Amino acid sequence: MRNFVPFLLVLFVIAALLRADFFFTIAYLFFAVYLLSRLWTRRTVKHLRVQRRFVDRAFLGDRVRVDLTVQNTGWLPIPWLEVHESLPVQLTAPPFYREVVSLGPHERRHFAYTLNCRQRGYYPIGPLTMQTGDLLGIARRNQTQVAPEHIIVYPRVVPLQELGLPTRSPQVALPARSHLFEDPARVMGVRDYQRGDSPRRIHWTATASAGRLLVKQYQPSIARETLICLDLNREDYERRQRYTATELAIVVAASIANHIIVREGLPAGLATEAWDPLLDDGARFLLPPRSERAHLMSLLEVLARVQVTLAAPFVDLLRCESVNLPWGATLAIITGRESEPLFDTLVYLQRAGFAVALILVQPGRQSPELRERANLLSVPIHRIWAERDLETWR
Amino acid sequence: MNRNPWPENLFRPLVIGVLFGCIALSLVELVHLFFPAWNGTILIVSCVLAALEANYSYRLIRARSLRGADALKFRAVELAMFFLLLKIGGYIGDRWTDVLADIQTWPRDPLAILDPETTVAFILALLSWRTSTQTARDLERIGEPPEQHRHYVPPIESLTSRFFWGGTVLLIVAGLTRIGIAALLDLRRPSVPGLVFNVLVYFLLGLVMLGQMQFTRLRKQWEAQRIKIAGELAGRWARYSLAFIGLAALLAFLLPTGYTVGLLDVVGSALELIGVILWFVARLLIFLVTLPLWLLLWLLSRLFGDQVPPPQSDFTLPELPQQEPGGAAPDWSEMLRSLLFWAVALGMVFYVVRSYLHDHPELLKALTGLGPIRALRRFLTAFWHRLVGLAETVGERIPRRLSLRRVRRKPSEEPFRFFRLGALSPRERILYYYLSILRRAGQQGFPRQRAQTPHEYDAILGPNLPQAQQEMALLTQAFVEARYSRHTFDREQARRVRADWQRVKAALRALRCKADASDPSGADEEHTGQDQNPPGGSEALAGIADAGAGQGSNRGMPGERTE
Repeated sequence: MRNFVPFLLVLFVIAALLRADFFFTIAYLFFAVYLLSRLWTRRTVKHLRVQRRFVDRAFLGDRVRVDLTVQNTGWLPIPWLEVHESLPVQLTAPPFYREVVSLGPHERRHFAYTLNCRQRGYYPIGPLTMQTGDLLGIARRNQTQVAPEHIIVYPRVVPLQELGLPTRSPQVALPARSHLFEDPARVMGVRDYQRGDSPRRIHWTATASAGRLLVKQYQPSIARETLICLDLNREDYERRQRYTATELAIVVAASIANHIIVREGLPAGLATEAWDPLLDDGARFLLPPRSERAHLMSLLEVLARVQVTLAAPFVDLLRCESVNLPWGATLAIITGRESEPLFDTLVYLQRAGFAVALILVQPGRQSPELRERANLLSVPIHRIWAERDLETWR
Repeated sequence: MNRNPWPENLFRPLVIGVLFGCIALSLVELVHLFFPAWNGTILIVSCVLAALEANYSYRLIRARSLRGADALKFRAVELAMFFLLLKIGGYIGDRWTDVLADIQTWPRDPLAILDPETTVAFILALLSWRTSTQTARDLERIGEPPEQHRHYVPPIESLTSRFFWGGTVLLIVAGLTRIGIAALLDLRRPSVPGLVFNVLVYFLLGLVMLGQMQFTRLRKQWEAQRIKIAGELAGRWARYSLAFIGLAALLAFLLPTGYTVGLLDVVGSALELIGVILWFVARLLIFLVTLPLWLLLWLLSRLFGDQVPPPQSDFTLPELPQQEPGGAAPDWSEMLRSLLFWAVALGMVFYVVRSYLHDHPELLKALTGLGPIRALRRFLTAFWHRLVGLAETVGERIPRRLSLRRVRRKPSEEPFRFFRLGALSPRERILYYYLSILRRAGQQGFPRQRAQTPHEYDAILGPNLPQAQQEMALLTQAFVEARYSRHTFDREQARRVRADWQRVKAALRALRCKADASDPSGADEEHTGQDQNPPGGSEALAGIADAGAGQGSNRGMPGERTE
């Protein structure tokens, strides 16, 4: 209200000129309205408390309910309060929640809305902007903001059979259980003696106890660790299919990790270089192989938020991160493009004693040249693109 | 949100009608000053009814979508009806015969229909009707997107301006009615007490209306943005508005309104009061200063028998402002009341202007950009800088002058005081040894120049003492450390420095013996084992700062005593 103050001054001048006592009362009335409006608006914002409650981790397809509580902790009522919560457009439409309420002294209001987790990612819930003002529109509107919180939507995890990877998977040894090396210091159990077993393996104490020949079973001593190397370099994916391909690559990485850790109970890690919205910058992620479920969750969290970026060549990442792996470890390499440097690196990794599997996320069928090259290198190469491809693999 | 139709259908038209009625009432009261016999009720009623009818007709035209000629016809009939009703209203209270007689004159003299009373009432009712129509239109336009032209005024601004203009007119008219037009220019007239009911109603209802307008504006804005609005908001808005305005009114009624002493008189009285207090303090100081003198004189008088008048101890306050001839003396409670009033009023104006400028930085910028204000600001800034500079200079110079005065005190004025070298701390002893050498060397023709540092002085004196050159260097180094470092010194270090000091002293003595051999008139002080001018230890050490910093004078250095 632009002309309130000039009128107030005019009122005072008139009262002073006419010397009518009551006119001063009118001037005071307007001054009190002006003063109280300003003080009221300023004070009410200070007494606002906000609480936001939601499950901050969700899987694709989940519906997450967000409960928002706004409380006026002061004695002064808040005549109107405009609540505006900014939301990610990927999770809800329209991308905000807005409501106008009035809060009495110490009153608390609850708001609730639901997010549809339709796309993996790391999303901010908020900021929550609250605006209030006075009853007459005299004082300036006062605004306060509550910092956003974040929700992680994990990528889709497909059972590995659906991808058709098991028998040709990077962990080829897993289903067969044929251990190349065993550690005689780690006795896993006993079994009945079979022809050909070395007498050194006979467990004499158990044999005496059971009354039949039993031999020791040792734990495999070869490294069974798997490092999933995910290529999120923008240049390694065709421009038109970049989004689809990278999303699929992430789904493949999450599915392999889930399969190894949950179903096989073996360690799996992740190495990738990507854009991290949390840091708002590119970052290199290296999660060393572990077999705990908690590790799987942190691995999925990284996969939930990473985005393509313009990074160093992918082969540099492979060479760099393989240094820390034990001999015999498996590298599941997921990328969008095959290239000479990549094949050179695969040869290098094989010679370094690693088991390597290449998963190409690109359209089309595997070319004879590629198949020939894979045979030459003895590297299993899988091409994944669409659901149809997956079906043929089942 | 479900809209409640009552505020739009009943509350607003009624409020607008009452607001116009309040203004009309004051106008009628003013006219009564000139024509006491005139009955103005019809005018008040016609203004209120015109405001109500304007609201209704505006909504009717909008509802029927009347435009162009149809709307004009409607308006013409409406105005004719107004006039007719006013004319009929003017006959209320008259006898039928008079009314009929008046009507019979119309065919002969048609202008007789337009009698002054009806014409004035019609004009005022027309004004009320027109303003009410505009108000109704503005109320409906609230929340609409702004029009893109230069002279566009937002409806809220238009409504508030109308309310404020109406209020200004009302205040002036009501004020003139209360004080009388003749007394308008008499600035010494007493203030007019008493509540003016229609003014109070106008402003209270107007504020309630402003609250409703703000609510309408926000609600339309929220609806346009499709924001969900809580159902209880409208009810609470009304309740809070009433409570808020009630609280403001209560506060307004508690504050002082009347004053008997003008602003300048209050300021004058306040200054006079300050003067009285200062005068009292001065008298008290004089009394305290003269009291010992009086006691002395009193003792003398007791001895010699003379009478001594007692000291001035009359602390009665001087006469405060006296009453004007023929006027009443200013009552202090009235003065206090006036002071409170002016403090509140000026505080109010100051706060409002300050917060307004704070909210409108562009206005503040424009104001500060004005030539005279800029020049005044520049002058004040320069004046302030000058004052600050002056204070800084005084702050720097006074301590320097004091220290210089202390340094320049003549040695002969210094009192003779014995001091014991053993009573000094190791650090003080080292300083003393060096200063002693400085004094002795000075006496032998190697004075230290003011600008020389200890090391520079060592470079001059050392070559002249070939048998103690190294000891002199060690002594200088020890002095520098003792003077400028924060190291702690023990007695052993002081003893070592003492050994160096004694060697340097011996070398200086040898140098003097050599000089005495060539000049037999020289005095021998060493036989006494005491300096000619032995100063106190503290005074001796006071010159250290200058000696170390190369700023000291070559005054006589302190003598020494053997431990």
